Amino acid sequence: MEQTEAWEKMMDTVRDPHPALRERRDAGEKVVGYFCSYVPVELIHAAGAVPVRMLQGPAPGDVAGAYMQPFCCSFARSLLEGLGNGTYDYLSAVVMPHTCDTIRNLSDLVETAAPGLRVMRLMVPTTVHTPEAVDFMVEELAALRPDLEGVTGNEAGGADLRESIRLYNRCRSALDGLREAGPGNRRLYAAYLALQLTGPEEFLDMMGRVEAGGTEAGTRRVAVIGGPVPQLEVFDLLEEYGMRVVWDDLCTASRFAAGMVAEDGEPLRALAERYLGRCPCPTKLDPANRREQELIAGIGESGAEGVVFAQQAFCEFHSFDYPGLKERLDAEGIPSVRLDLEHPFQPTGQMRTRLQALSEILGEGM
Amino acid sequence: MSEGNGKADKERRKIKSADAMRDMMVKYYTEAKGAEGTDRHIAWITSGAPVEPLIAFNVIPVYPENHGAMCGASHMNVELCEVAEGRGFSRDLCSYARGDIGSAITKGGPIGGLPRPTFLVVCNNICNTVFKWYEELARFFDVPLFIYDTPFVRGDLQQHIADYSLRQMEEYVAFLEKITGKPYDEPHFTDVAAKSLFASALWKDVLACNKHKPAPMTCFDAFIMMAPIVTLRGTQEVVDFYQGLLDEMKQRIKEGIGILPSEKYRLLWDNIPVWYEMRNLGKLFMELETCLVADTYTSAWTFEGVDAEKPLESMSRIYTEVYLNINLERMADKIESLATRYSVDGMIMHSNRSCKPYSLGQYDLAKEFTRRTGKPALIIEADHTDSRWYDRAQVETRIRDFVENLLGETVPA
Repeated sequence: MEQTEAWEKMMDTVRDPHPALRERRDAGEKVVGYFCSYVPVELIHAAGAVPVRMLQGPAPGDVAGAYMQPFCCSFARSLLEGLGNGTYDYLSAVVMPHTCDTIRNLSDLVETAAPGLRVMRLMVPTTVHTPEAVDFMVEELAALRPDLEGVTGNEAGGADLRESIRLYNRCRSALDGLREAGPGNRRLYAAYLALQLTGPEEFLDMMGRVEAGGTEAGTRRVAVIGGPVPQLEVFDLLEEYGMRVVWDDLCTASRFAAGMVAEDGEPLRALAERYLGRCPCPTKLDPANRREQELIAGIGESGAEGVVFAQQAFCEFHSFDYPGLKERLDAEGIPSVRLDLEHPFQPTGQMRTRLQALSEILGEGM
Repeated sequence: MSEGNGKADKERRKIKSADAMRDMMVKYYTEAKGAEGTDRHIAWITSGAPVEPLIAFNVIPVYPENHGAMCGASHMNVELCEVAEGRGFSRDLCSYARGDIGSAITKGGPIGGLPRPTFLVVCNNICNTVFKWYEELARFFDVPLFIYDTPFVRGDLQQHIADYSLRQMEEYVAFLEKITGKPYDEPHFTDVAAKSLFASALWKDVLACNKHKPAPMTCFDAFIMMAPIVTLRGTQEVVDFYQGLLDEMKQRIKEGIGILPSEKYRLLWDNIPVWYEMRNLGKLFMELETCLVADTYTSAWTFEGVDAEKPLESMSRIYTEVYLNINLERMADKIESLATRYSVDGMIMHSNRSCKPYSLGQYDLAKEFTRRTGKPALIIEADHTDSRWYDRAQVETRIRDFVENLLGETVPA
């Protein structure tokens, strides 16, 4: 297959994953949606279902408007819209974790907006750094497992779960390798998203067909931090201003792929330890200020010269973290700009002005 | 009615215990502010967090949310919010949090800010916003922060959630032992918990007096009268205060004294008050002969089920199952129950920009309320302490229309 064709196939998967997932449903596979990077995909996969992250929903419309106030983030509103209007009609079930207050309440609204869809909850603790939080997460995973098994009729324990853990670890390694090779913003972030929008086998197959290097663009090295950024257009926009993303802390990219699950030991505990042990998302407690430390370390190691905050408009958790992180960056002499993202993504004049300013500042240092 | 009679009637309808409450709260804030810089520990704590351990360890609890309500009611919160916004905090964040951060920086507000904490206690049973807010405070004041993580409860409380909650209650006590240098005294804690429970039971009885027609108070009065149960439950003076308030309410019922000159309609209120607008809304409802007889907010501090044999375990269960930590189905049950018990004609829901866990789901709850009770519901848009998000003319028009037209059609004369 031609290189560009292989990449295009991956881009198509990311842009519109729904037709392929409908085909898989029609072929008898079970597709299970999940709402955030704290849901262990390995458990869904081990039960024999295709784990698919809830991304790429439609523009919020009548369904979202009937259930959610406009001051809720458009990411959540878009997902509810999609669940209510049939965009995700291939799903057998969704796993909804407790992350932010919006997603928590959304899990109740989904039951009304998408009647018939099986909604499973995963009560991810807010405290993630204590032994009792890990114990609690293990209990939650143990409670989730039979629910997933009920969807597929397959057991999700023992050898199957270990195999799923190994498979996803391979996927994470492949993403690490791709980042090292520097394929450019669009291809790198398409690969991260592709893993979340299809099964691990299909992902590894796609990764085997694409060539990693060669299209690195942009000379201004930046780090991007925020929540879910499923639109490749965001990365295109950065490239338009000469920016190459050399490090990120996004839950649809590095935070999703960070850290391996231990392949020995008790699998549920290994999952709990990996998922809670990552650098915490802003919805989690961070008493040691680990997120800020890792940001500064990541910038240092990657050679990023500037930072782009790419966060969902109305996201309270990222908004709380923003002033402290910005202050720290200012103190370190690292310029930054903030983009408030709405779904669907439209580059606004304000975003362009801010990126232009950052681009000019970074250009001066060259 | 002559002017003289009007004044006399107003005086007769006035709740006399309000003065005692004001005195108690002045004494409380005076003592708290006076303790700043002394050896006495001061803890800032969220409204839904277990305060009983603090009382048992002789720590002064201070409530930024209660202070936020004061700042809102005195129309001072917007300027405090603007201070936080100037530091980069988004206008979309909770206005209690923004105002509190602003007040911590400037010592602004009606009482010149809160006394500096020696440590902080946050419990996310009311929302997850509070732990972000308290993390900011911990950084700002550079003091220890204890976090009580309460998993969300859907349906019945599951055993592993109860176990997790209990482990943290035990850690909370250990944290207090370490910070105060005093050992945990279970008999004393049980006594505090019993007082808390007793005050809570009295508060529940006070609220229940509003089942009577005419109602002896509105929920706007309850919003004010709840300050002691939020801030000082577990102390004898709070027990005494609510006993006095209950006696007064019973006497009012006996004498047929309603809080409004005329009560034509009875409504249920959902969500935190619009603190800066209480006076105007109160006048409007009085003019419309409409009494807000019950609400989902003040009853959050009516606890049940403290087991003297297992005080920590039972308290940890109570704090995990508060109103904002349960799913919509259970909320709908509670709203239906309130509507039935208080014989309401409809419901007003405050869609509160500052409180997503309270507000997200209201569109569904409103429909469910009408489906279950046959009564109408109105949703108004506001923010609990940021008046910049409030359109008075629009809200008043909608309330007027709701009462005059919708209730006028559905409630028999």
